[in-house]
Amino acid sequence: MKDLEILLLWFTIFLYVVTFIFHVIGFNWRKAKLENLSKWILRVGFILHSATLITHWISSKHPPVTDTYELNLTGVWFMILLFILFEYLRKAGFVIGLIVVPISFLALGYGYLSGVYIKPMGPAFQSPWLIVHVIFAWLAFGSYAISTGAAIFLLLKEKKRSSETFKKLPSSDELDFTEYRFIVLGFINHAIMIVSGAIWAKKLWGHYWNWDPLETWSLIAFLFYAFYLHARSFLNWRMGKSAWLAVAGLIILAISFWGVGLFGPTIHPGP
Amino acid sequence: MKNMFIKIIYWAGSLRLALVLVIVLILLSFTALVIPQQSEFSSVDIELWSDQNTGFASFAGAFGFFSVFRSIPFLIVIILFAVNILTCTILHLSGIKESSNYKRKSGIRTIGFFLLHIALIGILAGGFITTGLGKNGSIILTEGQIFVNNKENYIKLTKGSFSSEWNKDLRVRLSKVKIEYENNVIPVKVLTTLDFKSKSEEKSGIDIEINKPYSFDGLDFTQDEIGFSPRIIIKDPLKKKLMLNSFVALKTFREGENWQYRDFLPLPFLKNKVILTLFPDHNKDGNAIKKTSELAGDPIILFEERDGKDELVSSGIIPFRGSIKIGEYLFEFAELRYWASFRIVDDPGYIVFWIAVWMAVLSLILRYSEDLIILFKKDSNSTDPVRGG
Repeated sequence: MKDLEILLLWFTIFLYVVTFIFHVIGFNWRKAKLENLSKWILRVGFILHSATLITHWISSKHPPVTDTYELNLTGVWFMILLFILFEYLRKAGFVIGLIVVPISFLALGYGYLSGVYIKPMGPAFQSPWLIVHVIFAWLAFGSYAISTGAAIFLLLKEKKRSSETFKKLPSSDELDFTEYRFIVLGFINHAIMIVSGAIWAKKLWGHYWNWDPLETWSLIAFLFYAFYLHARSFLNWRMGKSAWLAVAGLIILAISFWGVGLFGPTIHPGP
Repeated sequence: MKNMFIKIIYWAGSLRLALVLVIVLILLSFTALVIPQQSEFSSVDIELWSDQNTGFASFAGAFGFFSVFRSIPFLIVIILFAVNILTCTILHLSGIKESSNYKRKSGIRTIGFFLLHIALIGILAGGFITTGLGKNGSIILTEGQIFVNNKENYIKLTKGSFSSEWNKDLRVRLSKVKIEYENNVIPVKVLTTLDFKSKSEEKSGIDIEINKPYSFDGLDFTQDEIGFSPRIIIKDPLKKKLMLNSFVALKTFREGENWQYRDFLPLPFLKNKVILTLFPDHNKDGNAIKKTSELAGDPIILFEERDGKDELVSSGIIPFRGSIKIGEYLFEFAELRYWASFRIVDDPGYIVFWIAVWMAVLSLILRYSEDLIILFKKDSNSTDPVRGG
């Protein structure tokens, strides 16, 4: 079962990489067919990704939400799901995949390198709040990642107005609204993630907030996005200014997901 | 004078102050990540950091940055934050102040905005109540041992300045620890059975599990760590004197799947330090001892005597219910029990916090519902009622 899972995982990573390569070529040399093909490869990759997830779930007999590999596997799944849904329903903004897809295969690779283990769920993880906490954490990350993708292309479009490649991008307004609304979606998911984590922490450690490095960094990211929303709503920071904030926000958030170990030991398991 | 007062009120409820406070809060939180914080049990990290950063250490110490979230600057920021949110909400609610961009375009958005800010005040209020009136302590009990609720009996305790008196009549006895392992290695269930007794109430055989705390006499009991507690008897056969007869709660070190049970045993009558390592079950491969299970089967204790330079002076293996002679003393491994640690928390602000956080989530959804509804709609620009604000 583990061999099958590894095989499925490698195929998933391979298809995400192919999606990215085809997309880059299609976008840069304006080959619409290739871009369209990459869209379909991404969907096939997502099906294989789902199969990997289910295979791991069956072998470990618990939802894949405990160790580094499982968290990256599940997290990227939610991010791609959100992106495919967005792209399918809006029929626009596939270009954001140029940011989202590389994050996905890099995170999957990082998860794989941390080790694929089939082990039972320890007592600390046996809480329904864990599932809520992890799902909303990754929905938040996925939303913020899509938002940052829109922000990056907004900045590029504004900078290279004359470029033919960037002319075919969605309008600056469309990119700006996509960036803003995905931050709103991410912010709400982020809030639910913090609340569910606090309730879980209360049951696990007796206290809803312990100022653990990961908790603190997650709060920093949350405050940063609160700053973004206030600056946008009340100070009229749109387009360039808010796009730069969105890019900075994802960097801050990425540290809370993957880099918080740099700031000392944490009792909180993370990806 | 009246103008001055109005100016202060406007400043206190201004967005500018809110944004400055958010930035200061981010910076203070970041400070807590880069400067080691006062840990629950030791201050070794702070001492090491202070030695390496002598110039900045006194500055950090003066501002309370070794315990940022209990420091005066942090408290001031939180109080200002509460005042800012409260004033801003009142100003908007009364219709005195409306920012140029925040027009009441939609009832739901407005309700969401106000509820969200009231919820934030609730979250801060819950935090203040817990900090001022709450208690948070840790205890360790070996099976059969009784804890009396007295501040001296906690191994670690944080107590609010206004927290209630101790109920010294409250007694808690750990009657049993039961651990279920998968393949005798990975614990999948840890169950502790406790007996509670206070002046007015008595409960026996209460099972507590990790993630399933129990409340008694207004205190929440949360199960924390577990480990082994061997009973060690040390005798001086020449003087026919009993030197020690006690359970020693060995620390549990987790290195991935490999758990180790060992601790330093402080013995005032020995000049060297003694380290005990327990193998709950074992087999021998030549001189090497290999742990075969986390479950107590054929337990032994590895005894090590080390000098001031950490050089090994003597070592030996004490079998279960057996003894060995080390130097002039006889060491006996008489009994093996489990220990369990618990957090005992009095958290009077939690209910306020709990209501406020869910209110915050619901009001956030209300506040941004229109933006979310059109998020996945095709060509939403034409139907966008708020233009992303």
